[in-house]
Amino acid sequence: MTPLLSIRDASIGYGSNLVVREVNLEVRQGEILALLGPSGCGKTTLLRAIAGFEPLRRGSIDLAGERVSDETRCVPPERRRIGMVFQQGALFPHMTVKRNVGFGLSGDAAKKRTEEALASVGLSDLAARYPDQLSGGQQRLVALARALAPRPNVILLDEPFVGLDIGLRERIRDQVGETLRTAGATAVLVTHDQQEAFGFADRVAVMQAGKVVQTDTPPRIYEQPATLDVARFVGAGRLLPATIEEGRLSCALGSWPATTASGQGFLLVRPENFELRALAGAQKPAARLVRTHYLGHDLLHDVTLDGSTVVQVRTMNLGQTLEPGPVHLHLRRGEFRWFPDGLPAGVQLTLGG
Amino acid sequence: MALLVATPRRAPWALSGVSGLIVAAVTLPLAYVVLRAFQGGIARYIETVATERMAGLLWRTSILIAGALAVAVPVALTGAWLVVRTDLKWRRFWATVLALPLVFPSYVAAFALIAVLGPSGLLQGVLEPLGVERLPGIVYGYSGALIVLSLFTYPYIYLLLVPAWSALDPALEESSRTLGAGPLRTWRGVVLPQLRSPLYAGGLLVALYVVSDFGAVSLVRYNTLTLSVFHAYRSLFDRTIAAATATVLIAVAILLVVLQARAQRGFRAVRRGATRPSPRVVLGRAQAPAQFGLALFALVTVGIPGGVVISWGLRAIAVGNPLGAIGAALSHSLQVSLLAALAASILALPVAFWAVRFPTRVSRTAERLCYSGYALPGLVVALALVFFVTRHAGFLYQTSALLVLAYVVRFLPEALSATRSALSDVAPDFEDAARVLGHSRWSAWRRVTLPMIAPGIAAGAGLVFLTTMKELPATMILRPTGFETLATRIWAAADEGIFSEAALPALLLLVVSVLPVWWLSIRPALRDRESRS
Repeated sequence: MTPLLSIRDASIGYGSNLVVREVNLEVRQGEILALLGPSGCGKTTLLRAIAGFEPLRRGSIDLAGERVSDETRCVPPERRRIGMVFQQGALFPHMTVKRNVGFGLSGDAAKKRTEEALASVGLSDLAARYPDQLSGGQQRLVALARALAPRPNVILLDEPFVGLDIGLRERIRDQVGETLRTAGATAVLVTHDQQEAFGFADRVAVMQAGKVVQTDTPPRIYEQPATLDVARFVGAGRLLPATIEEGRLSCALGSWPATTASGQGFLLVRPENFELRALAGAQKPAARLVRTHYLGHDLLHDVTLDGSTVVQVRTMNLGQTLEPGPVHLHLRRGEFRWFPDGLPAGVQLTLGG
Repeated sequence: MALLVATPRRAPWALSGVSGLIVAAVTLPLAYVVLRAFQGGIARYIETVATERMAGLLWRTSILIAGALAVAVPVALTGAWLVVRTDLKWRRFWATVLALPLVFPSYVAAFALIAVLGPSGLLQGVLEPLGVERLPGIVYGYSGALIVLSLFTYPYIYLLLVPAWSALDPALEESSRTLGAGPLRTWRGVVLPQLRSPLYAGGLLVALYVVSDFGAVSLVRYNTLTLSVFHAYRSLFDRTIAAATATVLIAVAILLVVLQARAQRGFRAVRRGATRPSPRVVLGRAQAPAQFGLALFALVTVGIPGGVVISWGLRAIAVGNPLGAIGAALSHSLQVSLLAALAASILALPVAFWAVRFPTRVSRTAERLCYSGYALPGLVVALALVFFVTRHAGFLYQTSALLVLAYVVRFLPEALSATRSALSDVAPDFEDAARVLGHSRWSAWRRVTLPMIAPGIAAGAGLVFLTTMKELPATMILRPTGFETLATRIWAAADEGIFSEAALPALLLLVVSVLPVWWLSIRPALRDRESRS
């Protein structure tokens, strides 16, 4: 099946300053894709290129089987059949909710479709209000209804939950996600918040410095980051320098049988890879608990290994506390991500023992 | 939040083209003053400019600027401090009253001053039976010009100071105090530097007002550069002298703008809207003297001129002053002002849109060029148009169309800045949202942007209307023969000392302008303060 949206070798920018470089992406019908990356990585520019606000320098964008952008052509936004939800909603302040939602509609069915779209976000009773009479969350939902109303090919969401309080943010996010899936909509979400990306999207494309560095499902992005940069950006974790020699990996944590080729590199360890126990007997190497961050349901411990290397360890809060001082640090056996020196990508590695 | 690292979008060709034409139309004629001044050759020009007379005019203009600033700045600071930072009673009332001198054009203020303190004025009439033969002539010359051009211009500084001062984060002052600085050092070292921006900007407005003033200095007979340009233009067949003097005037105006820009350059501020209002100084026993001082000040700057205009005006109506001629002047004033307001707001739209939505070096520069008419005295603008028209478009000479064009050149900046600030408040997201919903660029602009910025456009049009109603020097030069406006009638009658004839048009002018001034200039500046405190 051909993808609904496909971006090939897309570069955007003027002169020698390319904001987006050689991006390839495909989004299938009914799929939700998140573009995840830090501020200034080019994700919003890419989204605006899909919408038709930014011309492509090179490459192409196909939408629903039609070439909408390439080096020479840029179909204007109003002829792309897309929906877009902007950062603060961008509801027209001089129009009621009903007129806002109906703005992209025309003809006899407009009224009915407006009502349907409003009903799909559960705000039918606010139709007569003006945007300034709505809460921040309601504004985002109306913006979504407005974007959905003309039944666009794809919905583009540009950090749509920015500026909402944390609790509300999660609720609105869930509601938006549910509405999109109920409508069977295809969507691209731009965000710098990985929780948002993981919780919202079927697949995540990680962008850094204008490039898409990895596109995968959320678990694979988290567990098998493609590059060191992705590993650093996604999730909390520590990249420990390590050496593999004669089938054994050794690092500041200790040494284990390992399955990969010899060489030097970095081992990705995450806070949930560890167990932490009170010291029993004369175990080595001795780790030292420096501080415990109390997070409520979890505890996060700062542990030094050889006086300088610090790793973070996450444990469930089961009521018992550990005093700062020498502790026993245990790395759970299993699959890890290994980044050999000199190779662009990481590989999977099993630590046994 | 994603930074909009947006690649610059290219402006549609039609938009930049139309804007470029507008900018050229309002700026190019100005070059004709310079052209005309050098018509007789450089030697001739230097001969005209490098004279003792010119040096004297420069000196007289400079000391008037210096004097006006020396009075206006402390007055504005004191007034703003009282209403923003103290527990003054009836603050809102005083805040408005302190801005009210704005409604008096300089020639009305000068006329009121002469009518009260002049040789045949009210005070003389009261004192004569008591044996006072002649009041000291402070209304004429430097002192008269200084009184009018400081006490009726300080609101330009005051209205910028008030919102800036109330937005100042009180934590700045409090940090200074906790670090051991006393109130005086805190004021001089922390507060005053943060107020530099409104002080310099307001100071520039006052200085430019003084430089370009024609009405007041002509009535109190204080010869400045502007006045001498007018006389040179009127009395001599050779207009090269007028043009040469005008170039000196242009140089002074440019110098003032440059000085202000330089002074402003080092200014740093972390702009963070105050999250809480500053604590107010308790006036205590000073409350009564403060009230008394403000009342006395308001009597001089509002009560007396207002009273003179109203009482003379009513008296003129009672004795049956010919209202017909004034009716014609009123309708002329309204006509040209409405036309100028309409034209300026329409012409401002493409330029503002170009500069705000497609900011490039070219569009920004073009926008700034539009402000040059505002910095230059109205008289210079009028001369430029005369020179331009007599050479290239003779059919326009002595028409009201040329008059309206002069107003547009001069006051386009008012419409432009109102439109531009309204437009920059509308994020491009709104237009983009309309585009993805299937509307063309033009439809998005018409149905979304235009309704959103309409209040800003209206405010700009209102300002142009007001300033045009009051405009005098350009009107004097460019009006068709026999075409009287309220401003020219007031000036002509006051110039001849016929107060009763000056008062009625002045009264009409005040009646027409007092509400718009309050609504467009005073209320927006003070509203900020009230919503915060």
